[in-house]
Amino acid sequence: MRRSLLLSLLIYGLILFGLLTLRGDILTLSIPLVIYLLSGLLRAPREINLNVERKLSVERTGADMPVRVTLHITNAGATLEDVLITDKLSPRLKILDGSARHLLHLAKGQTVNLTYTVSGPRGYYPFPGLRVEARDHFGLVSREGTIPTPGQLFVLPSVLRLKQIAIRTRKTRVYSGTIPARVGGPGVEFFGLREYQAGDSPRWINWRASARHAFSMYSNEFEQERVADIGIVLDGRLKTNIFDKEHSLFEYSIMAVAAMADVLLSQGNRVGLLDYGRYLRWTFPGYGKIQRERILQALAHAQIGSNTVFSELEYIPTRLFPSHSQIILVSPLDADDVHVLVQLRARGYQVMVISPDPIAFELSYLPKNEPVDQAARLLRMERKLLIHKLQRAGIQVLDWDISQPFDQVVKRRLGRPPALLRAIGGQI
Amino acid sequence: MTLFAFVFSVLMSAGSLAYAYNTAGFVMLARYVLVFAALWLFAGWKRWTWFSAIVLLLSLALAGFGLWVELSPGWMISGALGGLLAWDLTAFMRRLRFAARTDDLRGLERRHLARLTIVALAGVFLASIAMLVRLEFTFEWVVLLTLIAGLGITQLVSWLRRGGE
Repeated sequence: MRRSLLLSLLIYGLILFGLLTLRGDILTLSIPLVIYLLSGLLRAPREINLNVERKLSVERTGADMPVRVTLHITNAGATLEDVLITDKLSPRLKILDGSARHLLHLAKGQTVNLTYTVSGPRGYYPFPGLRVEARDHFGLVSREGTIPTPGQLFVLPSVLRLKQIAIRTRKTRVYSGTIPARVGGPGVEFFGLREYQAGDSPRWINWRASARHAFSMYSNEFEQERVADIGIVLDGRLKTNIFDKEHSLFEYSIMAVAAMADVLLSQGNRVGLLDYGRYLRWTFPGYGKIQRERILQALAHAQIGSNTVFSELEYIPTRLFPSHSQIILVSPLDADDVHVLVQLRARGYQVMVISPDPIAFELSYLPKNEPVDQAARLLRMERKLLIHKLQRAGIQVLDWDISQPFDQVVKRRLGRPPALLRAIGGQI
Repeated sequence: MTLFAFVFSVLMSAGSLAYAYNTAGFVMLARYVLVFAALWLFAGWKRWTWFSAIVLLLSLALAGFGLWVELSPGWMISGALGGLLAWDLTAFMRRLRFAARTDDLRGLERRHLARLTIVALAGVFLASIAMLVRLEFTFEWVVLLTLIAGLGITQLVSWLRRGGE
């Protein structure tokens, strides 16, 4: 019950009791209550007129890094006797220092600075505004309001720095890059021989081949290296990411996507990102550092979700990816995904799957005993079969045991071999 | 500071009522008042804020009953006023829990207690005057004046709630 209502009822009750008993002294009991009520109402807040400015020490940061939030509040209205200011924060943000809630007395024209420090896991955190509740000094009348103070914080995923990775797409773009384009021209790798043309560098002349022909000379031709279109698909489906209702592989997928996008963009490629989970979130393909930032911000937004429509991968909108481009799917994989990936491959896409191993992940949370070992063995066989099916369809699969660092796994499986080994056609 | 004022208010309310009832021969009732005061302090310690509304109601009822059975008006007003102050301070202590450590808690407490003291003194003063000044009215006049006072208070409260336009 509201305090002013309770007090009013008590006052009227005393007056009524005094009248019924015909006792004036009982009526006088209500006098302190009346004075209390009127005093509170007299100083009740008429309006809340606060000017608030929000400043964040950084608007983009890494996970669990401290961010200082400063609120500069000026009371542009009448004096507020008792005002409770609460900054609406995401429950995932942790306050390290200070408080997001303050109880203040704000005189007319007074300015205060409130600061606190927060940190949080990967995510996007908007700051919608301040909730303000002003009351008279006895708390009989209160006025509430929300003051919008827009602000946002991106807690970006950490980016592992990978060295160059070797991918071969069927189709490349016209700009020079690092992906072998299956076309002769200026480059590094030997591609073939052609007849000498005026303007060829003497260093390109293949003297051994030319010596075999009396009237013609031959030049070496190199394989052009260009940039390519690469679409990364992040699998955010609940059924593939969550185990035992609480443990999630999703953060590993995020880490892999961030690392892959970073290295592919730094190689000059055109990279886009599709977040495939509760809904589709498409980051349009682009180049360079701005695109890197866009992808990291999209990854900050990424969440696991379930949607009956997107429970299977078959609704990946392939029109978003240029034909014959490279598609990298980062997913723990589900048995139903095979036919979708094989179809993608059949349509001409170069498909690579980076799959954080869900079995090793789940096993790390289970007790070690015979039934668990047997179940794990069965699941491993199923997964091996799944991966084997994909590989037979020409899909490159990187099965990532998350107990090993991602950069080491990538270096071993996707790294470009040293020039010496490439010259003799070897692999690492 | 506020806690001290709260304990003082509880003791003032319960002590006044218990003393007056004990003096008038209501010994059991006085004992119950003291037991209830102990419970009141315990509720304050356990932060049962809902309890203060019950206690305010009870202290006013006891004060009203005391006046009806011709007990000393001074003790009864003191008992009712103590209940009101304790009720207010309970809500204020609850409010203070929302404050951050860096907020000016002492300033908030000082301002609140100063205003509460002024209101309490004004209440006691006006109630004492009302007790002392006894004018002879007929019953019809008393009813009329009380109704006018009630309507006047209602109008004043609604005017203040509208923002004094």
